[in-house]
Amino acid sequence: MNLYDVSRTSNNTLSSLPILDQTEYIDIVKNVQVRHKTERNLLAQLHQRQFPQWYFELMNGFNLIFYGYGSKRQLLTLFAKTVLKDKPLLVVNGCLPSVSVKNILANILDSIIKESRGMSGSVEDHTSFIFDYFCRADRAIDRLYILIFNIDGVNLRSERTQTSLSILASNPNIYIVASVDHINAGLLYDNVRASRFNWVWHDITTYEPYIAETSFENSIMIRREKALGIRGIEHVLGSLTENARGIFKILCEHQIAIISTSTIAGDGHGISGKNHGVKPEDVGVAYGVLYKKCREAWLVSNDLTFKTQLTEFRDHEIIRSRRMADGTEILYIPLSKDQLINILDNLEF
Amino acid sequence: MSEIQARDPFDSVTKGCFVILPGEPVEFKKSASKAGMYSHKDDGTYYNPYHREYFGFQRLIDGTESVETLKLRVKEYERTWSEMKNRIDSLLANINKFSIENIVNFVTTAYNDVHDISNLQNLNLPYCELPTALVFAGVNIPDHDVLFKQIACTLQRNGHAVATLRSADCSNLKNTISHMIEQLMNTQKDYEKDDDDDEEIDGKIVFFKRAKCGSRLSKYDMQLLAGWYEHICQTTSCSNNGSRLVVIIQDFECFDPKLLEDLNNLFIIIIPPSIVENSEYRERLPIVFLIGIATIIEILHDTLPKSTLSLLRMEKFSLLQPHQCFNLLVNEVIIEESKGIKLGLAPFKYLTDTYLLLNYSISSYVSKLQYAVMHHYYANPLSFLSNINREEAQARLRLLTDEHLEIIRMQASFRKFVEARLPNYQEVVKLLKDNNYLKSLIPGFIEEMQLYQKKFSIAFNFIYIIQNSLNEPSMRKQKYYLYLMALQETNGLCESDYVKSVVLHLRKLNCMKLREIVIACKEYMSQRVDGIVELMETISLLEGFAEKLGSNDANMSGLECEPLSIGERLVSRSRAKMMRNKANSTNDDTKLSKDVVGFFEGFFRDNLRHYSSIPLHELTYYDAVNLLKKAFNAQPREALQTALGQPSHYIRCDCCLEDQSALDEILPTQNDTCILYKLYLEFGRLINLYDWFVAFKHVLDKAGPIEMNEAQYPLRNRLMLNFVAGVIL
Repeated sequence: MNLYDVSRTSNNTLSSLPILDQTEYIDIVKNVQVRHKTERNLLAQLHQRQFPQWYFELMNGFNLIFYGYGSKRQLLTLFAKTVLKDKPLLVVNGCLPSVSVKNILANILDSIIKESRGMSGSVEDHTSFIFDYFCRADRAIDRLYILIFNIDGVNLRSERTQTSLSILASNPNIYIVASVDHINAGLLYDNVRASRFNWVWHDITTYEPYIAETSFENSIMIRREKALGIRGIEHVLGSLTENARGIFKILCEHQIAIISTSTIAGDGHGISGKNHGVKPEDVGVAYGVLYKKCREAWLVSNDLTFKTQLTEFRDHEIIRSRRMADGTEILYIPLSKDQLINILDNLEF
Repeated sequence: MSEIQARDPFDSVTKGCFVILPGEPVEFKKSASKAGMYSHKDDGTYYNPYHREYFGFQRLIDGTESVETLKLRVKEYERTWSEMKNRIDSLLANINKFSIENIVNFVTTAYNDVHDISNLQNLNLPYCELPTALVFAGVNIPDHDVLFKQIACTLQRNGHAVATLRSADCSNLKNTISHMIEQLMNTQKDYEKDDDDDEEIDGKIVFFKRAKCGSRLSKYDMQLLAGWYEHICQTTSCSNNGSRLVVIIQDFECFDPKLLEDLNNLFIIIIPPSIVENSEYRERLPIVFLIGIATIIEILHDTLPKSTLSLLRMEKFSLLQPHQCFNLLVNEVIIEESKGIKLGLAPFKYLTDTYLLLNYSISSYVSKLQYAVMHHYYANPLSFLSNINREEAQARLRLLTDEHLEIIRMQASFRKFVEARLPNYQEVVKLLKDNNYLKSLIPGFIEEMQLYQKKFSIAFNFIYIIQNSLNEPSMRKQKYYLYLMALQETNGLCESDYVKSVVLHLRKLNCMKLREIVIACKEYMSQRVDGIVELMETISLLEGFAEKLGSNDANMSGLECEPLSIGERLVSRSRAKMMRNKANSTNDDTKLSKDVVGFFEGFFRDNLRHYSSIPLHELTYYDAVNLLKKAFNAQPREALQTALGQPSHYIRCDCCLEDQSALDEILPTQNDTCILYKLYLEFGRLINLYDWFVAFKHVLDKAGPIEMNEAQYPLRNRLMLNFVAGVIL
């Protein structure tokens, strides 16, 4: 790409692009023709020949990481199914917007170790519990495989997540197989984490289309009925002023607090994150209350600016509102608790 | 959405994690288009039935290798690597022994002087300094875990209670304290149990926890610790009173400075009252801090305020520096040991460079070494002959098939060996044609290699000894550097300028110096000789030299003493006499020193040959550096750009390979993303999506009639967009 040229702009605009509907899009994806099918098959078969070697490397204390263009899901799934079938296996979809490290750890604790149902505590506690478990001599499960598609996924990028995963990886009885697609994925690992992970890198270019991986992304060329996803909200928030982000943060924290308390009161699921019982619209804040809070935090000075800000949020469908029976307006963010926490973690306020 | 996503069993819109327990069948939905692609057969070519049993080792030589040799390779791998690993582990365990002993000493005596001062001089200081050991452990943090574990174990063995705090476990003060108390009390309990196996003590502690304090204390209350320690002191004999509570702060740099400040102040607050108010409890909590610092001492001054710093009585301990560690490692594992797999030039250079220039990490060095050994045994069909003695080699000869022998004949070193015998036509034919003759030579090759390594390491260390005793700082080289030089000089190290100048310097030395060197060499050699006759002879030769040099030396020193014993008047006369004597002995001396230097030169020439001159060195020396580089320093960007820019590198299809010259041309038969990527490269700083779309359409139109509808373009564009988002963001 020539970055030094004087940029000449084109007269064409975005609106001249044909826009697809969701259903049309699905239709086309289904029927799109595949090119170089035989060659890709050959490529995949060549990769498959390395399965025993990968197994050998895993058994010798290395963890595997795969890169290269093309979706690696199928190949790695096949690897897991044929080779890693002797011991419990955890498969993680890193590209999913709702996946989190808590989720992963809870799954290991609840479904695999099964000794600590309902255990509470921080991510670090869980991690060290799992680590200790797989060091014990009298454990029921002697090995654990973890297959992570897109360990560089947006939700797994945080320091905490990677540290926690790296601690698991450093256990000699936990084996991690992961794939990366981001071109700068290597930057996730500093010296400490890299040495804990003890990666061996493999190039498995497959040329497979990234269908599952991209299904969570939004495109301007596809009309969606749904509201913005997390990514969209983050984008919008990133371009707003600090005060505006502050308003969002207050609402966000409030909503998280309400969901947490009602979850504990309702059912003791604890960390498993199964709080489907609470809908976002039940936990909103009254207009007046939010305004008061924002004023206290010096985020807005008068009602007018506050309203302007809210309109902006409403336009992007980040914040919605509904009227109570008594006429008060309730504002809420139409997202689940996990997603809210994610946004808070990722954004700098 | 769900229709297109049900492509594999782990794909879901709502669920991020799937647990599959062994024996649970996973349903693998094959979509119609994929049916042929990943046909799943359990005994196909890729899936080796031996893989679990033999750790995934495959039958080499196109799958015709016998199971017996396969098993041997597995066995040999395990044996070789465990030997190497043990050697490395014991080396690392001993590397810092001395410094650790110092630290233990410091901890044990930390409170003695406080005790003395207040007792003897009756000084009641209004404050109390916390004894603090600053441990400089080097910049490589990943290796610190092992190191501090070692320190903690040693301290525990000496009867101290130890708590190791890592920044990862300590997010706030409450957390930190409870973590620390837990560890301190646990270790002590275990220690006691081991010692006197007294159940009562255990029971008492539990009782004490509740009764002493009236109510149950929360687990992060310092009173709990204080009471517990008091209890321990009461129940155990006086001899145990030397035990200290050691708090190790492993990664000082990563801690929240505020937290550290609080922690330090907390201890300082707790201790003074016990000293001032009640002298009985002077030693109520003899806490000793051990702070691990990876960088420099200034960090301490930067992070902690003066008020805290002034309350720490600090002492510095530095552990072995990375260069020294590395030298020892290379020396012990690679140079001196004649067993195990060796690294050839390129891998050695690569490993050394990554260590010295990138991370100073011993653990990553070891894992790369392991990978090299793994690959050697995994992929080299001849590796079952590596690293074995003569008898084993004799026994394994019968396993050698014709294919094995063919592979041996294909080795570069074997070719050299044959070429050296070209004048003897008969023998060359025999070597190339007669399998039995070749087989009979193999044990000899193996033995020669081992002897070569033994002698090489001895000669190599001779050079090292000599360079150290020369009075030339510029000549001193680190061992790993010397070794690298030895690998680089394909004509042998003795041909290098460096060794030539070492010999030159050796010539200039006098007998006394020479004698010291000879004796040092002899002593070194007698440790390593292992009853090899040839080397025994060399030793006796060295002994002879030492003796002769000694006698000459005695003459010389006797003469030199003379002028001192004789009075001033005689100085001029004695000097004249000495000159005469010297003239006599110089002839002997020069002859002798010529002999000695000549011996060394010859010894170096014989034994410092390059490894590639040894036949079948491929069995012992590992040379595939590219594989190591790919596995440990992968280049994902390069792979991605190649995949998109030059897809023919990965996909060798007929349609896109028509014209090699037109590599830059964008062919419509290529993958959509490749086309889009190439178009993207042609754009300037900003990309107009519509233009991009039109250009893309244009490229596809070149292919002639298109059998897809208009709406497909945007879709492809969309896929590309996602990709671009991934690449650029």
